[in-house]
Amino acid sequence: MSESHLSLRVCYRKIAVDEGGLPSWANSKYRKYTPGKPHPNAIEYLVAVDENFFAFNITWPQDDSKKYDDPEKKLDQMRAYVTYFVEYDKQQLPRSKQPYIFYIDSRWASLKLMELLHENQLFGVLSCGENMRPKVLWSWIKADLAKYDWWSIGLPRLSANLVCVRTKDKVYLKILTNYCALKEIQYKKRKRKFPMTEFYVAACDVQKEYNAFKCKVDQLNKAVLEYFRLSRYLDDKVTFTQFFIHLFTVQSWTYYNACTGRSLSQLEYRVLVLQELAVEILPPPQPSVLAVHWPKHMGGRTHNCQYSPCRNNCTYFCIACEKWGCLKCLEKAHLNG
Amino acid sequence: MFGKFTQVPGPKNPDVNLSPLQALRLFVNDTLATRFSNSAAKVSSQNQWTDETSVHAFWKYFAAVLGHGIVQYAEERQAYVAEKSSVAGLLSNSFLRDLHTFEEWQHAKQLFAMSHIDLSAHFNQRASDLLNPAQ
Repeated sequence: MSESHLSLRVCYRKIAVDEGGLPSWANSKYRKYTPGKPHPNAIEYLVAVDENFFAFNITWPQDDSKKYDDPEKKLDQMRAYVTYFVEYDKQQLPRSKQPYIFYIDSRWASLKLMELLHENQLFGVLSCGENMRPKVLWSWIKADLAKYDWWSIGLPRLSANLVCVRTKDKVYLKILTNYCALKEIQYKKRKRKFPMTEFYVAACDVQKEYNAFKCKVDQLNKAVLEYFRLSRYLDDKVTFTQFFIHLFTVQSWTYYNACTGRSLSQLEYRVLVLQELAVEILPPPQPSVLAVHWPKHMGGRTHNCQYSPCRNNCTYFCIACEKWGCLKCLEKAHLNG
Repeated sequence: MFGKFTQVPGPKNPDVNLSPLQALRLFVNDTLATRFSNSAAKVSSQNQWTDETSVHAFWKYFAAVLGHGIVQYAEERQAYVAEKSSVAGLLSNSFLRDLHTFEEWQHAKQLFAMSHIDLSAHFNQRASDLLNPAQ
C-alpha cells in the first residue's frame, strides 16, 4: 500500500461532541429545567464519543446561559475538547498527530471555533445556528433557495465552506466545514403523507455526512439511561455515583465487544457481569440432597411407601435410593440425611 | 502533514479471552474500589452505622445497582418484599434480597457515594489509558 493510500485511511477519526442529560430530582446546583425534553429536570454533561462508541473526557459545564445564545461565549467549553485530543496525541508513543474530525452542534458552532480547529490542524463539521456571527449572512444565504436546493460560500482563510441546504419548506440546515466535500449526491427521502413513497433528491455530501454521525452522543446517553433507575435521591452524590456505575458498564461493554469480536447486547453483557459477580460476592449455595435424589412421579403406578413405619400407597420413586415413598417420607428421609 | 498512521484505534491492549467482569474491572479498578471503601468507612463512622464498608461490600452495591437497573420495579422497596408475600413471585427479587436487606441497601447508597469530579477524573483517565479514539 502506498503512502497516499495510508493518508486516505488517516482521515477517518470522527469525534462527536455534544451534551447529554442525566435525569435527576436531586438538590443539586447542576440541575437544570429544560422544557420539551423527555426528562426536563436533568443535569447536563458534555462528552466526546468516537466512532467505536467509546466515550472520552466527560465534563460538567454548569452553564447558566441560554442554550442557543452567542456561541462564541461558549468557546472555552469546546476548547477543552480540542486541547484534550491534541494533548492526548502528544502523550502517545511514538509521537503522532491524528486529524480528528469534530462533529459539533449549533450551540457551540462559530467562526472562532473553526479558527481554533484550523490552528490545531483538525477538522470540523459544525452545524450553525442563526445566532452565529455574522448574522447578516443568514438572510442573504437563505434568499431564493428552493426546496432541497443548496448553496455554499467558501472561506479560503480557514480552508472551509459554509453550506446551506433547504431541507424542508421552512427548515434550513447550515453547516460550516473544512472536511466534507461539496459534491452533489442523491439523498433518499420519504413522503410524510400517504402514500409514503420514497424519492431521491439532489443534495450536498455535507448533509449526508452530518446526519450520519451527529447523534453519537445521544446514542451513548440513551444506552446509559436504558438501565439507569430514576429515583428521587436528594443527595446528588448518589445520583452521580449510580450514573457513573452505568457509564462504566456501557464503556466496558463496548470494550468487551471490541476486544473479543463478539456482539453481545447490553442486557446480555450486564447479565453475564452479574453472574460472574454473584459467584464472587455471594456465599456458595449449599448442595441440596434433594437436587440429586429428586422424587419422580411414576404416573399411574402405585406402591407401598418403603420408609417405615409408613406403609401408605404412594406414587413417587427416588431413583438414586431406588425406593418408593410418599412425598413427606422422602423429604424427611433425605433432609435428615 | 499528519505523519504515518501510527495509532491502532480501539483498545490499546486487546485481550481476546477477556471475560465480561474482567473488562469491567479494567475501568472500575482496585484503586477506585478502595477509594469508595475508604469514603464509605468515613460515612459509616460519622453515622455510627455497623454496615460493611470493604471493597467486597462495594462490589455488592455495584451488583445491586446493575440488578435494580434490570428489574426496574416501580419502587425499589418492591425488590425486597419477602419471598412468599407477593402474588406468584411477581414482586421481590431473590438476587437483590441475597445482596442486601432494604435497610442495608438504603445505607449502601449513602456509603458508596462519591463526587462527580473524582469520578469524572477517574473515567477520563481510564479512557485515555485503555483506548485509542476513533475508527
